[in-house]
Amino acid sequence: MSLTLIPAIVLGLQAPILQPPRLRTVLPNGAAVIVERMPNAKSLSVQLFISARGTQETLQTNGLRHLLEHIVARGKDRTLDTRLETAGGFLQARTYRDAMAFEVTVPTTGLKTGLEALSEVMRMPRVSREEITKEARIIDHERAIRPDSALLAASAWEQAFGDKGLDTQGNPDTLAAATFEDLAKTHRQQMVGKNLVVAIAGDVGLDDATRQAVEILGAIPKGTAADTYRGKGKPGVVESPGRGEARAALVGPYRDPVTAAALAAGLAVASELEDAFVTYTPSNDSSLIVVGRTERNGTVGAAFSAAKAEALFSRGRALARRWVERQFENPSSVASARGLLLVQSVALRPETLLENLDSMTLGQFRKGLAAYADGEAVVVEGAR
Amino acid sequence: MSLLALAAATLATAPASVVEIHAPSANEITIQAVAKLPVLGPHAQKVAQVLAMTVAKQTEEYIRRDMLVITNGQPVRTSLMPDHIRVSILVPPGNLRAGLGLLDAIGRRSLLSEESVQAAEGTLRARRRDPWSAALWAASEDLRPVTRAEVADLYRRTFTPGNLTVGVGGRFAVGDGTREWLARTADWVSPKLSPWYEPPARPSPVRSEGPLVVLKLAAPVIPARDPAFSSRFLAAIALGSGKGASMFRVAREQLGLSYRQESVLWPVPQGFLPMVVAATTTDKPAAAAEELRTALLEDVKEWTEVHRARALGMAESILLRSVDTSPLYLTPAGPPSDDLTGRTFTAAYWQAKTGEPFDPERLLAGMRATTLKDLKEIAFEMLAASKSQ
Repeated sequence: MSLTLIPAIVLGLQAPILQPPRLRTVLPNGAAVIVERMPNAKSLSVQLFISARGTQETLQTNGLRHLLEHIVARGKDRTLDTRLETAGGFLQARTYRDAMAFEVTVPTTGLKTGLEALSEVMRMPRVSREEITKEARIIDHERAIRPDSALLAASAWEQAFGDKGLDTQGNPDTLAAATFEDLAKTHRQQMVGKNLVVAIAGDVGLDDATRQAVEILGAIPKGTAADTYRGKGKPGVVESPGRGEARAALVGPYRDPVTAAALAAGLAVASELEDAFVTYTPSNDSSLIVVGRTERNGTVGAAFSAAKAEALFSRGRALARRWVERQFENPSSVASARGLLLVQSVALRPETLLENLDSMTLGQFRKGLAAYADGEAVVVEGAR
Repeated sequence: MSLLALAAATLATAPASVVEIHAPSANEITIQAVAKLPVLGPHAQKVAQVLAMTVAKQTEEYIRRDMLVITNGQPVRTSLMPDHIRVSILVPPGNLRAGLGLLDAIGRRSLLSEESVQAAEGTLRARRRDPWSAALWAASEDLRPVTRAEVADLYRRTFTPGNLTVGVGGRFAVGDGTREWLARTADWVSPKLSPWYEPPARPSPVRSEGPLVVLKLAAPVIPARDPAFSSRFLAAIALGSGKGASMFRVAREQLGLSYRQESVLWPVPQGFLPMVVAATTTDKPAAAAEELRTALLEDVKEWTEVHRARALGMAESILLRSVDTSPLYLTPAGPPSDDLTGRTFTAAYWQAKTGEPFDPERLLAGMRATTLKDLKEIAFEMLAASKSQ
């Protein structure tokens, strides 16, 4: 019994060494594929990321990307969801400031199904004026049920970055007036190689999954899409329709050590508060880390004023580490974390934040904490 | 006897109040306690809310800062649902004993100070429930103040060894969670108490929640151990889980009514309350709810094997791949999360609720055995018998 068991254990230990955990491929047209092998995962996550590069919204176009996401996610004949769900799959779509994301969760054997679904959402379907109006109205309903934390964060973004920090939900007037041509133009602008990433995580072969993903991305034109930046951001005090209060630290890109320190500081102070939320979407641009509560009684500002860096340093590092580590726990979070970073820059990876946390000094943590101080941060005063 | 067989035997003889989920590569240990609640009136529900908000604030041994040391900074979380109070503790590997010690302290020696009770009541008074949550949990508002004595009384009734199911998940040796909890609580005896006294209700004004309206069609409660639970679960999925479901096709696509529309199996002490819910903006909610019901009933009549197959596919996604569109709202935010903590909580909750282990394959087998005719009948009956709110 022991003779047969020992070689099996040795082989089991060797397997991960023989095959690397992930493979990143950049195509000649600039598109990228990242595949992460997660042996024994019970699902497969296949995700498409489309950068906002070249389609940054203005007051006149605010919300077109979100509307486009709603339109293309339905597929060529609006039956994509039903077909996927019958096959044991599920599609979700999100619009961030820096990218649009389509996630298909399928059984472990469903790679082809997942990639076909992504291929379908890459195409612009023909939609009538009536369908666009109906979808714009649906977005009105979506806006109406947003949680207070999202409203507080949206106010912070508009204060910090003005027209470059517009709410991705969109301007209702812009959405009501949107035409097929407006949407098709946005679609054309964003569908260039450099803007596209397919991220796959699950129990798959790296080479085979990469080859299949390359097939759907390879034919996309290289095109041009220039990087633009939001600028440094502006501190200040802003009122919000959201209920509660928040403080937002103005931070640099994801790879910046001070970003890691500000995240650690934000999480540490939030742990001192009851029912606090922390919002941060990894970005290669200037960004915000928002700490708040959906009750307004001055406790958020008071907690930052009372915070002692020495006392919170270790806790902040541990909490931020867990925040990153949780992104490695299942295929969905892995593909999401890797894809969202890769579509912004080939140099970005989740581990960078862990490395910055490991080397974080008390001085950096103090700097991170100071980013939430009056005069440095965006202070959001919501409704009572 | 091999070590594994010994471990299995140890677990098999342990009381059903501890459920272990082993994840040797996990970076933490998650401890999930479920304290069941009986049917509570409006005032007792408010008392339960205050209890959930105060029970983990401070114990005889631990203040908040001590707790954060044990958990490496992750706050102890508590939440309330109509049928249970949940306590969630995450600790680093190696802190299993300290984590269960903390749960023991919370379960037996919570201070429930006058100050924290008053603070919780103040928070409740100021809290605005979002319309979606308010629609799901239609508790009538109770304006009577909650006293510390009431909170302490409910605490003694709820946090008892027989009423508490503990889930332990993460990196630890098989059986350690069970052994440690049983050793710690060996001297914990359930008190004998008189029945809960619910003061008579007093009418309260309805709080306006703004322009958003959440339409709700609620059907009679399904017992947690209903022999046809799998079929009813499948009917709920066919009606409202996923974008191929009736609710999406009818409420959103056909009627253009709402962005968010779902079917929900809402946990109540008697079982699960089935309902379909849609958030919309209308000044005629009653008419809109009836229009929705009529359109859904017409839709169900037209269901074919295609609809059944989609519902089964969706059920597999929910039960085997943890896609978060399950109608089973076991937490205030919806279905439990797809991580070790969520899985450990589900295991503990299901054991507490039904007396059986959570077995997705068994649920799926019951669903697959449901014919199209049965599925349509169940969904039709659920909708026809539902009350619009």
